[in-house]
Amino acid sequence: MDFINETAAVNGLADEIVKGGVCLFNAVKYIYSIAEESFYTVNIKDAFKIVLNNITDTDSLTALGLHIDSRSCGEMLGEEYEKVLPLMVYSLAVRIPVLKNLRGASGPMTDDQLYKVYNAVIAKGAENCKEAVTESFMEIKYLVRKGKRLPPYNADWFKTYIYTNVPSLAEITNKNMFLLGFADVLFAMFYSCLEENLFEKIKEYSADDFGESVEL
Amino acid sequence: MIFTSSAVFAVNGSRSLHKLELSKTLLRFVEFDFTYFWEQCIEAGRNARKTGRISKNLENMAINSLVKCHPYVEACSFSEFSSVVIDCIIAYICHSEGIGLEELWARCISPKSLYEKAIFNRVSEYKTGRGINQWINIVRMQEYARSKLKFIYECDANVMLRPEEYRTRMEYFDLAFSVAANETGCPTDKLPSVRMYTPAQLPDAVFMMGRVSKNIYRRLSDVLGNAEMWEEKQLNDHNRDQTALDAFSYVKDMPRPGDNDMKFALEAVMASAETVYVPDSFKALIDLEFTLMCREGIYMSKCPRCGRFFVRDADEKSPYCRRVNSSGKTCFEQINEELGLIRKQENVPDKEIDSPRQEKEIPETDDITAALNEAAADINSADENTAKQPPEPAQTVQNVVYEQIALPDFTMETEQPEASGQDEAAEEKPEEAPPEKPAPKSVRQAILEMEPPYTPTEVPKELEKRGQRIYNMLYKRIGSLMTEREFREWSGYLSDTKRDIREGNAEISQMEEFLDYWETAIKKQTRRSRRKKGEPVPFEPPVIVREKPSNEYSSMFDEAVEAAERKEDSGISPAGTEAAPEERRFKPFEPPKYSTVLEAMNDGKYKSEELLRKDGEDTDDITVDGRRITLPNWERITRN
Repeated sequence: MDFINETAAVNGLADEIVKGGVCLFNAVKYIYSIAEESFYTVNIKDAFKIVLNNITDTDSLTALGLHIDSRSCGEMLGEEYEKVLPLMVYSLAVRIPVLKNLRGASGPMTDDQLYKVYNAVIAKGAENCKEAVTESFMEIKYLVRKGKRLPPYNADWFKTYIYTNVPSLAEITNKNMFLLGFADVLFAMFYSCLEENLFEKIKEYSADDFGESVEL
Repeated sequence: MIFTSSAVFAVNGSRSLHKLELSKTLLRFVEFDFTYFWEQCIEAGRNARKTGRISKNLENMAINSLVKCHPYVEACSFSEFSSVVIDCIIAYICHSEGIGLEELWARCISPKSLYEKAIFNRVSEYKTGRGINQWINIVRMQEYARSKLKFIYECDANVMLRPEEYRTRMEYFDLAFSVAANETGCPTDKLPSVRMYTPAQLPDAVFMMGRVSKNIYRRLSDVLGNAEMWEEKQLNDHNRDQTALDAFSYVKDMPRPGDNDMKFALEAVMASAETVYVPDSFKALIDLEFTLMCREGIYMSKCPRCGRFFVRDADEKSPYCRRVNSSGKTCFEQINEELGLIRKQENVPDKEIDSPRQEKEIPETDDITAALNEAAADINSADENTAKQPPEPAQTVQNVVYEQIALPDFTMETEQPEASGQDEAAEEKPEEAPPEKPAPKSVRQAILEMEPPYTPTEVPKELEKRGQRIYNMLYKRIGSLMTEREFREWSGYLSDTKRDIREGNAEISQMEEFLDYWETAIKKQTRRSRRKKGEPVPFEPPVIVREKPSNEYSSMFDEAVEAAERKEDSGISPAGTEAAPEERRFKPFEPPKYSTVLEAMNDGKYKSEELLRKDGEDTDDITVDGRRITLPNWERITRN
């Protein structure tokens, strides 16, 4: 695909993926805090709506009266849980080959372009800590090239990591069960919205005229 | 009499004390016009839509105009009511665009500006129960206060209930509220309530009486330095006493302070109120005001003239208020003036009003006395023979007026104490007893009949819309067609007219006439401005001039006076000043209607003319009013 400025496009897309990862990381914390004292006052559906409509900014969640502090989500303030952030960005980065599905007049993004974006994201701090994420860039690239159906983005790696590395969250409590329950739904929906957002970004950076019709 | 009873209250989270002037605060709140605030908010909203943020100046201006409505709003203007402008804007958007809060929230979920973010945050607060729309709350609270005021104090104008009856009404109203709350599952212990404190027991007393508190701390610092701190979670409903007595254990051995410290304490105590109320909501304070009014013996009554509530003294007999209205006078003054004026038009016997003016000698203990004196002065000045008559004591003047004007009964009692104190001479001469009380019915009836002559009715929606349209048009023309002040007066007049229609003091045609006038004025102004700009002026259909209603209140009054004059001239007693205006109306001419020519010919008039025809005359012509009319020749038409 021809970009107006390929470097800017690569950096822009990488930024978007990193911001998405950070947003997902914060969203999990905010929604987890609902279980502390806003369980009956905050509608989780509203929280989802806000997150999914503001893929790269979770500040709006504070409007619901949610706060990330030691009281509401002290269990997530440990060092081990902090590693979830690079993991989240990595889990999104390995799915970059999916961007090839958007085809402009000059064709889809090339493997080289995709790889540049992936490297830029890794350079920004994405990391597969303790090999928690089982998917890999090459695997997804293969599936996309073959036109095979991709496995849906899910929170399995997140749950596995928590069970094995974050004991405070692995404990069976009301709050932790709430976390594991909403994470499944949130991850899948969030990725879907992020993917759309990335397609829109590509259209902005692309030299091709997409008009109204978009080939996927 | 002006009531100055007041209470002191504080609001949660504030260290200031506020004054609640009983009855005055309530009356101001129930009558407060929020139109200006509403307009300011809309202006702020429009501005924010353009600039992307709500102007702080406009917001402050709007809040400043709102806080005057009630001291509670003023006290909470930086806490509870700090977002009232955005609340008003939200209400306006939802109302004007016909959308709900959920839709508005969804629209602003990805805010593009600070303005949208402010709306989103505020609606989120509503959704999560962390806030309510305070603008709507104020409006509903006004409705609540009005309803309660009406429920407790509205009754027959000439009747004053006993204090326990007023109290019962209030309790009944509150009980009804509790029943409704209970039946709808509302936890009654969570409903608005007021806590009562002495200044030293207030939650923030340590800071509010800072100087004394510092002195105490200095004396106890040694003991308190090693005290164990309580954690917030440890405090609950079950261990209140325990906690309090634990705190007491540090001061139990404290001796009474020296004279100097006591002097400071005395100053602080004397400077503060005896009792401080801390309401937990607006409604709680409104209820408190009603309760305290009942306790203080402050009762209200509805003025039958203006329909507004006013504080009525227990021994006050007049049902008319002493609140200054738009005319610059009170209803009480106006009604007395009208009574005096009508009496002046009646044929007052000279012998009874022959005293020269000595009102200045009369001690004016009451307004009604002054009004009586004024009326007497008018009567006497109108009479040329007055000067020839010997002067009489001032009290006689009062008696004369009292007799002639035939004031309602309530005015009598106000004079009694005066008479007993001054008129010793009258007591010595029983033969000069005060003149007999004339039947007051005629004049009083005339006045009563002149009062609201129309049936109360709702303003039609079309007319309301038309009024709103003209309001908007004029609002846009502030500065060109009228000034802002004139516009406010205009707006007030429109509101008054609507209220008068609802109360039966005006009729719909008056409002139509008013709107017609302003619509024409706006059109003319538009044409003028277009001509100036050289734009084409559209064709305008001729303006329909409505007939001026002949039976409006003011004209009725004039007509009654005219009738009195006419009757005076013709030697008829002026007792019937209440001549119905319908009698004086000219019946419009209606031509006789005939279904056939023959019927017309057979009508009485023509018949008589036919009789004038002389027998044997060949002509078929007849003469009517000197004109010759040829009758038609009837011929039978056949087919051939």
